[in-house]
Amino acid sequence: MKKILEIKHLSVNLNGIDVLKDVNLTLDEKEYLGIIGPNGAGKTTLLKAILGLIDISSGYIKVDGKPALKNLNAIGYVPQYSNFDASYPISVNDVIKLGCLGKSLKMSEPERQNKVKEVLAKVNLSGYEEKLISQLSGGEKQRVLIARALISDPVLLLLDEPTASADVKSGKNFYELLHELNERITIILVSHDIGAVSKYVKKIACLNKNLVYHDSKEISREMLEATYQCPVDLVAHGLPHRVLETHNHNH
Amino acid sequence: MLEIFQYDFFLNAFLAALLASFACGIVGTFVVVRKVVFISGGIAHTAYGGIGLGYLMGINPLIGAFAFSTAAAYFISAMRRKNSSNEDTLIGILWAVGMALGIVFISLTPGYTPNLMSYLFGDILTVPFDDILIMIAADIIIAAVVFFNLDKFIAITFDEEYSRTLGLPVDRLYFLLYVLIALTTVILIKLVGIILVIALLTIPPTISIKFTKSIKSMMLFSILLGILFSFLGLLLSYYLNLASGASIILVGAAGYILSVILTGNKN
Ligand SMILES: Nc1ncnc2c1ncn2[C@@H]1O[C@H](COP(=O)(O)OP(=O)(O)O)[C@@H](O)[C@H]1O
Ligand SMILES: [Mg+2]
Repeated sequence: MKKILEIKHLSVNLNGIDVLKDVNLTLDEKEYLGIIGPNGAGKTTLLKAILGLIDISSGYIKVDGKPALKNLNAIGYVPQYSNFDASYPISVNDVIKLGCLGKSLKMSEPERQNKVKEVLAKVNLSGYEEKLISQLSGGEKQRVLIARALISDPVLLLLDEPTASADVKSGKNFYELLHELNERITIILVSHDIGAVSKYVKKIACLNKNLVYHDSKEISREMLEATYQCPVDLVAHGLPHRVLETHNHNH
Repeated sequence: MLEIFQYDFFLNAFLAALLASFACGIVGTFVVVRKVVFISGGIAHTAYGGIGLGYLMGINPLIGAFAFSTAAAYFISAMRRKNSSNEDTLIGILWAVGMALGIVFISLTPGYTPNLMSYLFGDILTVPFDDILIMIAADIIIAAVVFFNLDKFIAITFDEEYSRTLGLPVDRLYFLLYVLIALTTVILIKLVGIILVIALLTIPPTISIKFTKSIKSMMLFSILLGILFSFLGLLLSYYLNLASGASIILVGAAGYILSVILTGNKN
């Protein structure tokens, strides 16, 4: 198995506060990891560290065998909040095109047009090329951002708390779309929607400064308690039963 | 009505208006979509210090203006990089210090002191041919830089954080964009004056964004509006004997109000 992501002893300190402490995580090809944790746990920070958007204080991050910073084109990123101004005069086609501006991605114009078509088809937005970003619904914008992330053919896709809007005309569920993408791409999905995430991901980790990760899809009582620092019953309310398997492995 | 074209100075004035509209349409589009009007104000007003220094040292004031504006562009991008929380205050200080230096330098200049007003409010009817050449050079640089970096400028003004994840040199590109604002300032000083630079830089793109669907068409439409406003303004100033810069800006403002009425203020 090829190692797609390798994080060793990662610590991040922002303005004197330890936001992440000794995080270790290894993902192979075609893995699908859900990361859950309360607000302010450092989930966004972890993704930004992988992308080199913030400085790390110790440890290293490798993507596909290379230091992450030297391999940015291999990572697709769908941010938590769209930082862009929705009134910006730009078409869907031009937004997606931006995804291949990276240094190592030289494409001819026809190649790029084909690629845009291809990724739009993947996210069920065929024919949306000329629409303005300001004319799209929230769910459609999200899909455009996924398409933008896919155009560089990433091996790793990072999604930060996507809102799974159900306004897609094809009716295909947002998580089913990710499930399809996962046939080729390793995915990390950050979410606080444990119920929705646990139904689709292959593994789950809990993050609250430290990453608690058991290499399985099981969330243990201890994991949740350590992460949310509150009684599990509160958090687990309404969870699909199969996620919270009875906990019986040793610590 | 064409009699005004018999005068050389009017030909120069219209040529200057054309050159200014070009720069404004291109650079103003980014200023408006990225909402960096205050930053642009800082860069433009700091130019006044350079104008004063130009007089004091006996070099073309426009060269001095460019040097000061570029220095301001550098400081502001350095602040961006540091993410300083009082960026606004610092830009305000830079703005004021630039203008104060201009006043001091001009009062230190021995002998004839030029009319301060002409640089603050523009004096289109006294554009010497030298200045036209500087404006042409500045336009060529703006056109070339934007032509070769259009996608990157769109990327950083549309979604800065994402641009960083692509490995784009975001901070350097912003500095470059700010230098283009400095160049545009230099082009506009003679036409509308430092005080009114921001108005001419922002009014045409603010109207255009309501009617256009891409950055390129927004630039083109802004250039055409800039030409329309400045030509109408110049004619107005000639026939009614008004200050040229103020006339141009008032025509632009009228155009903006008209566009709001036409589009039902969807902005
Ligand atoms: N630039 C920053 N400087 C200082 N602290 C920060 C900064 N960014 C985030 N933090 C802090 O780091 C912690 C983790 O934030 P974040 O990664 O956004 O959490 P999450 O995405 O899990 O909600 C929070 O306590 C937040 O206040
Ligand atoms: Mg977050």
